[in-house]
This record gives sequence, structure tokens and C-alpha cells, in this order.
Amino acid sequence: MKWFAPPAAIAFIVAVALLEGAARGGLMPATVFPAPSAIAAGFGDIARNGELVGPALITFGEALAATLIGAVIGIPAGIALARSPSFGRAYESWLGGLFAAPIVLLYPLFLVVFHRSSATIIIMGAITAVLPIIIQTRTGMLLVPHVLNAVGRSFNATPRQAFWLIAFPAAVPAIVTGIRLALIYSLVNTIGLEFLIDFGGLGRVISDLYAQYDIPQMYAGIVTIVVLSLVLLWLLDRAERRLRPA
Amino acid sequence: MIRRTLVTLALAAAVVAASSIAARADDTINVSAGQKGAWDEMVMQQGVDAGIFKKEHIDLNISYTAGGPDTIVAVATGGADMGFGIGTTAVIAAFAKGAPIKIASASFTGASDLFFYAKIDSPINTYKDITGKSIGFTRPGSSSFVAEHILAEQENVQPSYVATGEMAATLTQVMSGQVDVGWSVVPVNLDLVAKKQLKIIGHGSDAKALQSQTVRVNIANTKWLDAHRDVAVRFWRAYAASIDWMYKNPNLSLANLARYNGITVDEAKAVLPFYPQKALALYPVSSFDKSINDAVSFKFITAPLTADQQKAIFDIVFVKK
Amino acid sequence: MNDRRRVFAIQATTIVAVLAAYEALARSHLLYAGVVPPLWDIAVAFAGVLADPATYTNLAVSLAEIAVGFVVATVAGILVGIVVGARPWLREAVGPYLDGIATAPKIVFFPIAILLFGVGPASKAALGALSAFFPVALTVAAAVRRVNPVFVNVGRSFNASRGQMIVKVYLPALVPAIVNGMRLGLGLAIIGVLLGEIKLSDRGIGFLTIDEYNHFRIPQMYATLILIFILAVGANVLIGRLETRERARRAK
Repeated sequence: MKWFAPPAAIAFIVAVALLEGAARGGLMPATVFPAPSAIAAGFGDIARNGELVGPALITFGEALAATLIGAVIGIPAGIALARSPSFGRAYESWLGGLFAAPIVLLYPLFLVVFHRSSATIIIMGAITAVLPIIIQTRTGMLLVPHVLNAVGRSFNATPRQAFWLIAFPAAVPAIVTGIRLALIYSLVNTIGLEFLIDFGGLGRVISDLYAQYDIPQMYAGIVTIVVLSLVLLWLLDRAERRLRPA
Repeated sequence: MIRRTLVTLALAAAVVAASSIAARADDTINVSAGQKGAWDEMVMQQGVDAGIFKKEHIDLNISYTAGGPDTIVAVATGGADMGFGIGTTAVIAAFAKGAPIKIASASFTGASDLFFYAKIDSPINTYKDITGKSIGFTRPGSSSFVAEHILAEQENVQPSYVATGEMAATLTQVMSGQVDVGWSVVPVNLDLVAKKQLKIIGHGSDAKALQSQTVRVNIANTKWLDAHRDVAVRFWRAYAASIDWMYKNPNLSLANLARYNGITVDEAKAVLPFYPQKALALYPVSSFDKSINDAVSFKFITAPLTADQQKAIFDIVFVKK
Repeated sequence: MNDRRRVFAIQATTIVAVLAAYEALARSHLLYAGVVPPLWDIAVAFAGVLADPATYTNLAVSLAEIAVGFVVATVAGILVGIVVGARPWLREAVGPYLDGIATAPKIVFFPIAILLFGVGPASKAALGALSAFFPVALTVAAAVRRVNPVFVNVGRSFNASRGQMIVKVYLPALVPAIVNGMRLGLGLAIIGVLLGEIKLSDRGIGFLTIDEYNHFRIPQMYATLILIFILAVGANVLIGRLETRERARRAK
């Protein structure tokens, strides 16, 4: 997707102009939706107060840590489930169900055990991250083309060689997809949690700005989060395309 | 002839009945309070249960929020006409940033509803013992934060401050030994004191400098207030009467409190000493300049309110004689 | 089927092991006892929650908010998906913003919802709608591009009006995508509404949970969370089954 394609840029300019006109014409109460110019000023404020770069790094750091933990636990688990058909089938529907479950709602439980700390955020993020990684790893390993297995057998490959030289590399694209999903989900969860428990990086900033009635700055923060999500998606897109075998 | 008379009489009776019903129609007010269950936040519910607001022909839609900022937003957007029990510093900050709100009355003066506790086997017994120990608070600028700093200065102790969050999280951290002293607002955690798992080591009322500061105020939406001044007067008359009723009829009001909180009447009775009636006085809003200074030092606002702002923020329509 | 027996045995053993591990943790005093109540306390609390009428009034509020949000999101998502999917220039203009907002956690839009819709159930329904809108819109938009051109040409050759095109050509072809998007959207709508209730509400099952937390009624909080999970996962399973049945029916 061409991110800076003229249509997207034009849409942005048009939207901003309309909103600015509506705000100046008194159509929108400043309390509810400030003029884009006020929001732009809000950017300056939060950047100056150190509420932009530092918190963004914290948020991304937490999401990355969560994804890493998810990968360290999830990839071996996915492999194990692929190699044991009974266990794999036993947990298949559970994993799917957990994936769709509102895990983030469990945060009061984590709060009472781990308190308002990075531990709560990272652990909850790790739970969110580990599920797609396990599912994708197992799926990737199971979908290894029979051709490749047959080739391995014809070379009299040992089980270990078959695994490390054939099955695992063939599953890497699926695993990469899983990690990509995990990163996105854990980032979403991390920001959401930060907002809810008022701790950490960008989510906490939004929560604080709301509590202090700094409405234009709050909108600036929300826009920042949307922009950062876009940037992350774009980076992951590029990375995945480069990692994928031609 | 007779039929015409009867019909006319019936019509007349209908008109009289209708107009009297119209005259009796209650005014509906949307009100929003925080910390559902606390003695000072339940004044309106008590008043409704005692029929006091009905007598002033007022119908209340009571909703509860998670805290001050949410109540402010509710009132600023018109979702609620009036908001109750909001931190004075938060109200000052919102007003300074253009929120269409006015202070309608004081809500709570002093900090007598606050207490500090430690585990029953802790070596700490009074606030004087907490130098070098850790004490929890919600967030910078909160009433727990302010009270703890004032008490520390007063008792000449130097504890370390830990942001533990709300009462549940604070309790957990104290019980698991991560923090030495916790804070609480009655009636929460009083049951653990009664069960001898916690001991009270200090009261908010010990902080002398805080006793005369109105830490929470009640606000009204500016537009609503301008358009409904007569309704507002009747409302505050009923509100003041409700407070009087609560203290003159403790058997009834404490039974209500027990019901609101799902606690026993005895547990409710333990709450009353923490709320002297003068703490709930609606007027005056005391030590307002100190609240302004707090707002600045906690970075809620960058500069103190101007003289004009200090006048404009108040719109008190009813002062009990 | 030895296989199925084995699978069942594994599942049963896992559940028992997890419960046993939790009970061991509860009794070990590694954590403050108040936050890890023994299983029996949770079971008793669960019975209490099921017996309490307040549970059902709060549940009804949440269900209403979820339903309204979900319906609004589905209708809006289908419309926007069709409109955006059918026009390449619109896709390029609006696509990136849809993706960006879709990725952002919807709870950060919560203050905007409160500002626009007030503190009542409407703002929670709005959050649910916002959360569910994107899966539907994005799946539909992607599917519109794949609608068989033959059908489109047939419709055009009959001089079908735009409305007729939408109803008679596009919609039937989009049903699988719509159902898939709705399935993703329902889970997100549930999360959006409940998180909104946790953050700011005085009713609903999400509010009930945080209320129990604030009053430190921890076993009740565990019980309410279990109830929410059962209902949420159950709803997902139901829609999944509907989707499978629908697919099988169409395959005939």
C-alpha cells in the first residue's frame, strides 16, 4: 500500500480543513472536539513535557518484551504440539477459544497479584502474544509439504535432520506471521492496559491528560498512537516482505 | 341541558386536574457522584430515600463515576447537570482550561475520612514511626498524597512514597510486605481492622493544616445553571436538608449506608465518627488559595488563577441561613 | 475411537492439573491470601453471583450495549466496506487511516466516546461499535475486490440500479466475508463495551467486576470474570458453529 499516495494525503488535508472550519464556525464545542489547530498545538505541549518520546519507547519496549517472551515460550510449544497429534488436537479448540477470549478483562486479577507495574503489563502482553505464535507455529509445521518430507526420507535423513533442515525452515514463514500478529496484539493490549491502570507509556499519558482535562493534548496523544500504529504496520510489512523467500 | 352541564363540569374538572398535575410536575436533574457508597457521596440517595427531594418537587437521576475527572467530563459535556465530590484541584484545573463548569458548593472539608494502616504485626504504631519506611498513595495530587505530605511535615518524618494506586491494590501491597503503610477511606478496610489483621496508625484528621481546606467541591454545568437557577435553589435547599436529616436520624441513615455498601449496620456505625457534620458543610469553600497553589505545584495548571477567574469559578446560588 | 479418548484424557488431565496448581498456590502463602482465594471460596462466590439478581440486571445492560454497538457496527461496516472496496481511489485515500485506527486500541478513544455520547450506556455502545466496525469493514472491502466480475457484468447488462446491484449482486457474494468479519467483530465489541464499563460506568457486568475489585470482594470478582469468560467464549463458539453450518449449506 502506498502510504503517501496523493489520495491519502488529499483526504487528510480535506478532513483537517473541514474540521477546522467546523470548529471555528462554532459547530463543535471545544470540549468535545477541539480544532485541528488546537490539537497541533497540543502536540507541541506534550512533546515539550516529555510525554511523547519517552513514553513511546516505554510502550514499545513493553510490547517487544511481551512478544519476546511469547516467542520463547510459543515457538517450542507450537513445535511440540505439531509433533504430538493427540496433544495438538486436544488443545486446538482451546487455543482458538482463548485467542478470541477477552483476556484483557482479567487485568484486575493481575493487578492484585502483580500490582500496578510493568510486570502486569508485560505478562498480560505475553499471554496475548503467545497464543498466535503457538497457533501459527503448529500450523506452519503441520503444513510442510509432503514433497519436502519425501525428499528428506529419500536422503535417509535422521529425524533430527528432518526437523531442523526441512520441517522447521519450511514453517518459518508461518512463524514470522505469528510473531507479526503477536507484536501487533501485544502492542494494542499494552497501550490499552496502560490506559486502564494509568501506568507505563503512551496509554498512561492519554489517561493522565484526560484526568487533567487537557483535551487538545489528549487528542494529540491519540493521533500519535494511531500514527505510530501505522508506522509499525508499515515496518512489519517491509520486514516480512524481505524475510519471505523470493 | 343536563347533559351539556355535566359535560362542561367534567371538562372543567379535567382541566383543573390536569393543571394541578402540571403544577406538581417534578423537575428532573441529572447528577453524578464519585466513590459510590461513601457517606458524603450518598447524600442525594439518602435524601431521595427520605423523600426530601420529592418535597421540593425534584426528581434525581443519580449516576456514579469512577472518580473526579470522569465526573468533571460528565458535567462539562452536559451528560450530568451537576457533579459531586470532586477534588478541588481537579476542578480548578478543568475550569482554567475552559470547561463550562462552576463551583456550586463545598463538598468535603478536611481529611477526616482518610486513615493510614499497617499490618497488625508491623513495628510501626504511629505516624511518627514511619521515617525510612514506605507509604502508598494513589497518584501525585491526590488527597492521600497531600495528606501524607502534610502529616510528614507535621510529625517531622521522612518516609519514602510509593504510587500504589487505589485502595485494593494498596491493601495487597501492604499485606504482601511490599509497602509498609497503606491508606484507606472508610468504610473500606475497616473490617480488616476489626478482624485485627490491620491496625490504624494515623488519621487524616491528624493533619492540622488540612482540616480547614475544602478538598472536594460540587460543581454545576454553566449553561444548565444559568437556565435553571430556581430549580438549583430548591435542589440545594433539599441537599442541605438531607445532610441535616442524615445526622439527626443516624439509625435510619446508617441503615441506609449499610444497605448501599452491603455491610452490616454495626460496620456502618463505625464509619460515622470519621465524618463530623461540619466536614460536609456546603459553605464556605475554605482555603481556596491553598487549593490553587496545590494545583500549580502538582502541575495541574501552569499558572495560578487570575483574580477574575477566582471570582468567575464560583456560582453559589444557595447559602443556608 | 482411541484417538478421541486420548484427546479427552489429555484435556481432562490438563484441567485438573491447572486447578490443582492454583489450589497449591492459594495454600502456599506465596501471595497474600486475599488475592488468591481457595477454589472452594471461588465456587461458593460463583454460586452467589449466579443467585444474585443484580448479576442479571447488570448483564442485561451489557448485553444491550453490546447488541446495539454490534448491529450499528455491522451495518456501517458493510456499507463502508462496499463503498470503499468498490472504488480504488477511495481505497487509497481512506485505507491507511482505516488500518491505523483499526490497529489502535479502541479504549484510547474512550474519552472521545464520553465527550460525544455522555456517561451513560450510549458511550459504551459507541465503543463497542467502534471496535466491531473495523473487522467488518476491512473484510468486506477486501472481499468486494474479489467479487466475481462475471456476476457484476451480468448485473450491469441488466441495467441494474446501484441499489439493485448492492442487494442482488454484491451482498449475496459477500455473505461469507460479512459473517467472518462479524465473528471477529463480536469478540472485539464485547471487549470494547466491557472495558468501557470498567473505566467509567455505574452499571453493567464490566462495572460489576471493577466494583467488586474496589470493594476487595476478590472471590466474587474471580467468579464474575469466570462468568464473563464463559459467556464470551460461548458466544464465539456459537458464531463459529453458525459459520461452519452456513459454509456447509452453501457448499451443497
